[in-house]
Amino acid sequence: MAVRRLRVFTVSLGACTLIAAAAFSLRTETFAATPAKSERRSNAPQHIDVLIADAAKSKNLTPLPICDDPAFLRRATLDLIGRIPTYDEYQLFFKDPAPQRRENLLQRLLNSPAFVDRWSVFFGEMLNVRSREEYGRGLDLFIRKSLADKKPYDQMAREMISAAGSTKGAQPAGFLLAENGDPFQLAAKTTHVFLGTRISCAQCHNHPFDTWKRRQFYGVAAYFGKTRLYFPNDQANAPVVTDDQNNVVHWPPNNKKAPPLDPAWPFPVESKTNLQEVLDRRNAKLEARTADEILVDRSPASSSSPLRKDNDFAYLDSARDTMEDAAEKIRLAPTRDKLAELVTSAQNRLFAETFANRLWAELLGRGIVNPVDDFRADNPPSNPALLKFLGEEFVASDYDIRAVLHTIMLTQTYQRIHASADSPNRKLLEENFCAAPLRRMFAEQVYDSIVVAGHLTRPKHRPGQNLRQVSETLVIAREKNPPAPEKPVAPQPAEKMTPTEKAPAENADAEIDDLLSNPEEKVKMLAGVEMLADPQEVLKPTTPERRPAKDYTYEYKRITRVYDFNPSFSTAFEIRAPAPPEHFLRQFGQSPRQLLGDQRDQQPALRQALILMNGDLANEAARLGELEPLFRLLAEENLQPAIRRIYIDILTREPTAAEHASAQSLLATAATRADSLSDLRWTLLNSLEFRYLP
Amino acid sequence: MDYCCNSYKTMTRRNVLQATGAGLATLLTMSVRSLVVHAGQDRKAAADHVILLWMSGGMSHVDTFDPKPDNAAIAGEFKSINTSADGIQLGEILPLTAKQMKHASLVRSLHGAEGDHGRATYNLLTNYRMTPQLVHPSLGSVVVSQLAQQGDLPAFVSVSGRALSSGYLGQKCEAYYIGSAGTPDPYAKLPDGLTHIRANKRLELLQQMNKQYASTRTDDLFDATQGTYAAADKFMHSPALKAFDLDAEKPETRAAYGDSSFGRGCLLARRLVDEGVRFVQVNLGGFDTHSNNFTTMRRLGGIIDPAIGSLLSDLAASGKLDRTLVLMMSEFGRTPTINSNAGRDHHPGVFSALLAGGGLKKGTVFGASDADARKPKDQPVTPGDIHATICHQLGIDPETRVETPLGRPMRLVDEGTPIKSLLTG
Repeated sequence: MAVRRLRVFTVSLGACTLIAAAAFSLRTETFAATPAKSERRSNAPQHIDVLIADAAKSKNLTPLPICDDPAFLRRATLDLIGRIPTYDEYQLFFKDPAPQRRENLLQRLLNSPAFVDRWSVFFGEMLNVRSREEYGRGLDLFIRKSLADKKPYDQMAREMISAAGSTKGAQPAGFLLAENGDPFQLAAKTTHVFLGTRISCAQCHNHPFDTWKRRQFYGVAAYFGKTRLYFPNDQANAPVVTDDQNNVVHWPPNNKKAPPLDPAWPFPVESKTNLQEVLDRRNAKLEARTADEILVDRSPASSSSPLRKDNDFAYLDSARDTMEDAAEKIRLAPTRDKLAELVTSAQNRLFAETFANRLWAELLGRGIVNPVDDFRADNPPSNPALLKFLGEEFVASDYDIRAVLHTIMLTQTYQRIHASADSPNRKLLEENFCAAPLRRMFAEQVYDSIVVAGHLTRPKHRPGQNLRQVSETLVIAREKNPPAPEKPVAPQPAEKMTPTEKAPAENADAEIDDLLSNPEEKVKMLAGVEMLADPQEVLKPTTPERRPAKDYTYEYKRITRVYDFNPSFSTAFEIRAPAPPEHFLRQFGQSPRQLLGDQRDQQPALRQALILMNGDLANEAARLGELEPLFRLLAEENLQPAIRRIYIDILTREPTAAEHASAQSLLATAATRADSLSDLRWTLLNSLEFRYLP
Repeated sequence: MDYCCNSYKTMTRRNVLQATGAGLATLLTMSVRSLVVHAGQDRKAAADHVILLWMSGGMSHVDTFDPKPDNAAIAGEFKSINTSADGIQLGEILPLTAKQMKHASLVRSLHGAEGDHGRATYNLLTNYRMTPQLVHPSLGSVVVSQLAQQGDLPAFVSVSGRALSSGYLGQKCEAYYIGSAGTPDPYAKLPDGLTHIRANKRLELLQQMNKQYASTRTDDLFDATQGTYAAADKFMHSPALKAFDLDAEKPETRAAYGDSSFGRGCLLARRLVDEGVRFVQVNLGGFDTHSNNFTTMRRLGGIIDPAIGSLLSDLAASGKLDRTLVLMMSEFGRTPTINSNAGRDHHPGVFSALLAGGGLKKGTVFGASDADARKPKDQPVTPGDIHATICHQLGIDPETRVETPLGRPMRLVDEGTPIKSLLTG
């Protein structure tokens, strides 16, 4: 057990550090099948189906049947690891005897390292983690590590809320840093993210559509009233989070003479008696844990690494704090510890229900409370018994995310087919979880699915097979009156011309040649164009007015170069988020992760179609490469195996007889077989069937 | 302090504040929704297009549109020059713009509430204050959400810099982004090696496949998704794409706009409007002149002056200015006092905007700053007033409400009234 966990963690972190480069393989290795011991109620999925059926009955709805095996394989793989299954995974799935297939698949997926990547993005969007920024990077790593370690969700939340100490490395304190330690923002974020409640309007006035009072919001903010950030003078060191003596949250507001407000918890607290059965099951699970799992210390105070060396404090940017004061405080955040306990307590039903509801919505397309961040009296759950049950199961599992996902995915409710196009009560069936709604792939799923479907995880052409010629303008900057030794700005390729590197002027031309002959640089440039398709970054420095004109002269040099166009792509779930606005992921609706409530935008847009029609990703996925398994099938007289392979690669299913016939007729009209197969692939990759989960 | 929920202001605020019970809150929710009225239909539009020239960084108003020639301590190195509009002077760095002032008007009493670049940019471009709860759409998104698309090109184009997000108006109102005017868009043409015949065949096959798929199940976004492919195909083959090719202009025309990406952006904006684009935003940065204000502003003047001058004169000459509203603004002005680094710092207290065409009055100034260029002297104008004026000219009721995805009603223009004395007729 310990060995497996360690391996998972290493893979995850190892890959994280390599995000910027372009050519890594997506994780397609076969997963280790390690069925976990289950403390859940074994009949939980059936119980959920009963609750759904009861509700449906009262509305005269009949739940639809469950989907076939290929549809389940595709749906579950997309949901759990964020991409469609590969051909090999398709084969593996069908090797299992039919009754065990679905369960075995879930076990493989839940224990896959790719599960960590995909669900870290789920957390990233929930928490607005901006992993391009330093604090966000630390928080992102914290999330990835926690998921890899199978850390219980309540513990993750506790560690974020009560974080203290240095923020260097994989640290939960990014949660506090992201809001600059502002008590009001943090109160809004904590209640929004963990309790699905929007009380932040009450910062300015009593909430118009809810029962929140301004004073209640201030009472929550007061838990963060002593939170302080210390920013180092020295760029190399990370900020430090701690608590101060003074609470900056006052009541009444806008009155400087008003006294500090004591923290107060405004949410209902359930009696332990009502939770006894759930708590007993949770304790049973805790006790059943193996020794190595218990090694994880769960007390809030130890949740972040305390600073150890005296010189760690040398950079504290605080005039009035002595080192001793700071050192003492850095280890303590008692007010936030208290809040963390209140938020994550089993007696706070909202905590477990909010998250279980988020997971439900992610898998079923719609929350039991919908939208998932709007729990309030006026927006009741569509099935209160189901919400209560899911919340209690989550607590009883000891906040095990995988256990809840597993339970939900074993239900018939998750596995249902779509309502037919002409069904008069389609919307009703979907809203009442009696039919699977049509869910669109989100941005990362689209990206990764195209990559695996088109075998782009590694180069698929032989070296030198796809030489391309490009012309571009380089800007060479030279200092006007260079001091000795002469150090003008080095020329850089058009994609990244920010003058940062320095090189001797006389070597400028040699530098260019050097740059162009470096194969890694080419890959990076390619990545710059396609993966980080950010025309603004690509083009901005070519215009002289943006530069400090007085110090440099600029020489524009038109060059032509040849490179080997043979791209491979890494997984989108490791691209730092949010991607630049022009990036594929953002154009396909990745959340901007800026404000509370930011979410994916699933609307189609002109730019998306242009990117898929004319961009490299879809076209390279469609283009046939000699190193692809498909290529061998091309030489055969009968193209049926090739067509079958393409359908399984892209749509995870066998082609119908009609589709075989249609593909054959396409082949008859094409100039070459390779072209026609690539046209077929492009078409399937752009089809509605590809974009929607089955 | 009421910035969280500005849109509720038109409800009887007292009632809202007194509403505590859940039942009453439900009633209020319903009554708010019933207030949603689209009153824009019966309005007559005076303009069809907007070109927004966005000067990022905080353009000094004293050195450009609001010079104080009598106060050497404020004016610094720059003199004022007369313009083609009686009684209006500009800073000396804008001689070509001065020649076109007979076509344009100035607002010199614009004032904002934010001194931080990000927040002020948000405020000027969305007319809302930044809040943690909602992302408000920027002006271009608001405009295209209300006007029908003309021609094959996207309705909202942003050149050399991003427009702000379309917020709750969604992806369909986002700006189409052009990195640098005059550079081909990598996604506007087929990839190397793919013929149009093959591309058409792909689309044909795609249509068949989708039809088959949609016969068995359906989703509200099926049609819209397929529509984007049709739109993309139309876009790629549209003769309107030639608008992006600046080589089609005479060399002397290109030269007149200046050899800068901003100049090319203004030229592109003019060509895009000809093809029906509703809203073009051309961005230029570098105005954050905390030091060496005068050197920098002289250099920036050399970039913006030929561009604006040529844009206004071309639009006026072709008659297009009548239906095209040109707006030039920045997130704030700069301090009239010159700091120890010969720079000027952030100054949201008062600054200026230029408005031309689109049926607005010409050759006039609305509002004035005080003698120190520090505060509005009279007729203060808010960002919302500018937005309301633009909407009014386009035939959009600024009070129109749209719903956020969560069903919250928001006004297009939060608090603002069209500047009456700039409106004609």
